[in-house]
Amino acid sequence: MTLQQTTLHAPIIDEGIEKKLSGLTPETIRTVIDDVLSSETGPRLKAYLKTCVHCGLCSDGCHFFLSFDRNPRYSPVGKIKETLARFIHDKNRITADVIRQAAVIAYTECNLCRRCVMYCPFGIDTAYMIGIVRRICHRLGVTPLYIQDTAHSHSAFMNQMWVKEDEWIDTIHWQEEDAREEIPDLRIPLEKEGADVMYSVIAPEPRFQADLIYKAAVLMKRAGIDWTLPATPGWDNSDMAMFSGDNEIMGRITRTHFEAAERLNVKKIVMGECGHAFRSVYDTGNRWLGWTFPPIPVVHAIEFYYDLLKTGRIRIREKFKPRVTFHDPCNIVRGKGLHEKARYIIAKTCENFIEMTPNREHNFCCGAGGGVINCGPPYKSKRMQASRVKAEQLKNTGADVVITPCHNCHSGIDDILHHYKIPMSVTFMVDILTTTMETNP
Amino acid sequence: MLLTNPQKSSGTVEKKETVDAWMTPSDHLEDIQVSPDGDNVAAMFVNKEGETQLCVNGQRWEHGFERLWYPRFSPDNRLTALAWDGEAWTLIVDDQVWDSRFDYAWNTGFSQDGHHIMVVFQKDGTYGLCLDDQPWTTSFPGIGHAAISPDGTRTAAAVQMEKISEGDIFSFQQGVFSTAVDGEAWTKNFVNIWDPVFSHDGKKTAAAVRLNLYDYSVAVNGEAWRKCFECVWKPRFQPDTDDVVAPVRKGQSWTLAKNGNLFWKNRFTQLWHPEFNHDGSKLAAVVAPAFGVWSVAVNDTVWKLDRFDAITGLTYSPDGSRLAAVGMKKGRHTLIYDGKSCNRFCERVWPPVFSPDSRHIAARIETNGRYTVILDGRVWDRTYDKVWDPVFDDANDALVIRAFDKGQYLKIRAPLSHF
Repeated sequence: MTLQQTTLHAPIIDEGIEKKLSGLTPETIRTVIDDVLSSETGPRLKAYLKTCVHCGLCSDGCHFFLSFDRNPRYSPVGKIKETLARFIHDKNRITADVIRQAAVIAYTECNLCRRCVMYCPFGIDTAYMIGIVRRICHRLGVTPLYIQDTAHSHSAFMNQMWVKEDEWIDTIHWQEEDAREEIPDLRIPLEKEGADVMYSVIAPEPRFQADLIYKAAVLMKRAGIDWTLPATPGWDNSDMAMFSGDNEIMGRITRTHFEAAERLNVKKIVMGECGHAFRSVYDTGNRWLGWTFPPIPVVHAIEFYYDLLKTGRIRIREKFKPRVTFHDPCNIVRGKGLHEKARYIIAKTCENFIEMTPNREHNFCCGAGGGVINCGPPYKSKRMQASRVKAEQLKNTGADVVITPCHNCHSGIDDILHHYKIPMSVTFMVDILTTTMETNP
Repeated sequence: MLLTNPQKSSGTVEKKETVDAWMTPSDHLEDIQVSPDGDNVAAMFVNKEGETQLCVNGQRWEHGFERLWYPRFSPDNRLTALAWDGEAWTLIVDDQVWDSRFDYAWNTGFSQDGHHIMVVFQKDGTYGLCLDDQPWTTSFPGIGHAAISPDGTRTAAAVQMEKISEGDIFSFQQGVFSTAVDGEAWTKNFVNIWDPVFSHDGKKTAAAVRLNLYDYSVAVNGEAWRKCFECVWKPRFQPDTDDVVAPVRKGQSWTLAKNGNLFWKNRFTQLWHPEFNHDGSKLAAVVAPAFGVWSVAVNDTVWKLDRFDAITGLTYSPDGSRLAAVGMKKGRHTLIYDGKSCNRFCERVWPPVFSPDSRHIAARIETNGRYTVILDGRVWDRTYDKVWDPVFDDANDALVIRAFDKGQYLKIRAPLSHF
């Protein structure tokens, strides 16, 4: 089934990109590019650049390329040719216009999903190279306004949505009060030093989706988990600075998250259903700080739910009846191979499961990840066009519900379902679990 | 393998409180708190009227509230809790309610001796600190990183000086953050302020700052160092000189800077938590000499330890001659001290505690899912449902174990010779 592509997106004026461009000279640009390439890259980048034979096999891995009717401009190798390759080869001819184009490509036309890596005969990580382009753009001050604002929020309040400390605590108290109407002795423990588990979430949960914290608390209660949330900064595990190219703030966010867990001296951190945050905590931010692996074990919600079901700490009362499909989030599937654990949970909780095609590590990105949705409304139309293959993939399942354990995927797919008028709803795994589990295990 | 003394002793139980007996079936127990001296155990209950109350050694406090949370004992053994009476938040200290009322109050903090108590507050959408029931007279649109001076008479925080709209990245980049000390802001703003700290006499403040999106520095009393770095972490004042040191990143590696100039010669993959001993003669920090390899450096010399995945809880002995920390390897913890690893790994180890004469090191540990204490590498022979940090007696001959087991709180005096 092929959905119709709508009109090409109109030119976008992004003040965050435009404002600094006028002050950039080729000399300034060259200095920053040389500095980033010489001091922040090494053999990995050289190996990628020397190994790529421009075969184009990466192209079919990219949902932008496929959704834009195989336009080579959107192929992974094409994006590198228009950005990093020019930075390297064009020497002193990199103008502000080139930087503008590079910023648009790097921030809004690549989700850093790493699907193309699967199709490269040499395993070249295009997302890594696009990350270098973003780093250069950040250093030049040329960043989409919305994601830059998010990075500012991270730097000031250590969460991505300007949530003040009292607002976070108040939300938890309010959720606990609501939950106690259902389960009178339920607690959402804040600052419980020495608990087994620190649960961390992303800022949209206290801002817009506080019911997810409520549901997590119900799950913890039913499973008998000794858990806590920090009342201090560090409760938000998300990290848009990782995607804006502000590595220093990325590191500060990750450090704050782990030091909250160290202060509470928990045994492990359980992260809510977010993909990019897992990438930051498990792979990128921790390594910028010098930890090979997280200093305190971190498990994604999918691993946690899997363990709860496998060990019988929660049992399923009655399976979910509607036809469901599953969207594999890039950062926890290509990033950590959690696809089979996710399917185990679905097999335990859902009666009618339909695989989407392709699936598991070959699944298409939701189009929102990598900070693309965080570049804001100006780019939504383009993002929707770039998600045509995703829309077709979703529609072809004929499912009533798509489950995805990632906030970005959730938002991105919700946009796609509305844009392409697909009669399907999107849900988190915890919604399914709390609907189907026994209330008195 | 953890060593225990075959000459088993259960120590002397000096206090026993059956906390479970305080409850009626309709009550709901919240977190138990124990005073540093071990003489008071407090629990929080929801009473039959739905009010939250504190109960200390079986005696219920007079005041009940719609909500109480964050019960914490001060270092001088006073019990505090944040309280909501249905209209406003305040602090209750030993059953005495502060006069100050806030729309929100949180993050109770104490001076080192416990004589002074601080909370962060929000009132009418603006933020400040309140010390000993005296709120700052100036409040700000945002606040974070609250700090209290060593003697507890002054408070500071990173504050937002003006409101900006979400999405106004350009105003943000002009710098809208400063440090307020006792409610009075530094004269300069910065793009970011993190981790303000006081000098030992409380007269100066320093903080990590970001001058623009790329240049990091340290500001002392509002004046940034003349040199900038790729990144900085929390600064520290040197006790004897008031010099300021901070971890700084330069050329993609970390070292220490003093007053803006590079200070240590070694370069590290990471360096943080610099700590002076009491007279300033020693400066130690947690360091990563190579990627993924963690150790401790003292006066720029790295301890030669086995490979650790992470290190926390850096603690000096009272005389400043010894240093201990917690090392983590493959998800298990051990104590490290005096440049060596204790090599007794267990599920969890809490930050080490030195005896007053600096000769002994103890810590709370979790082993095989139970809790106990360790002294100089030897594990107490009994385990409990929960323990708090051990406390040495002033004579240096016994360890006070504060434990909770089977519904009972126990204060146990354990002679050091019994370990």
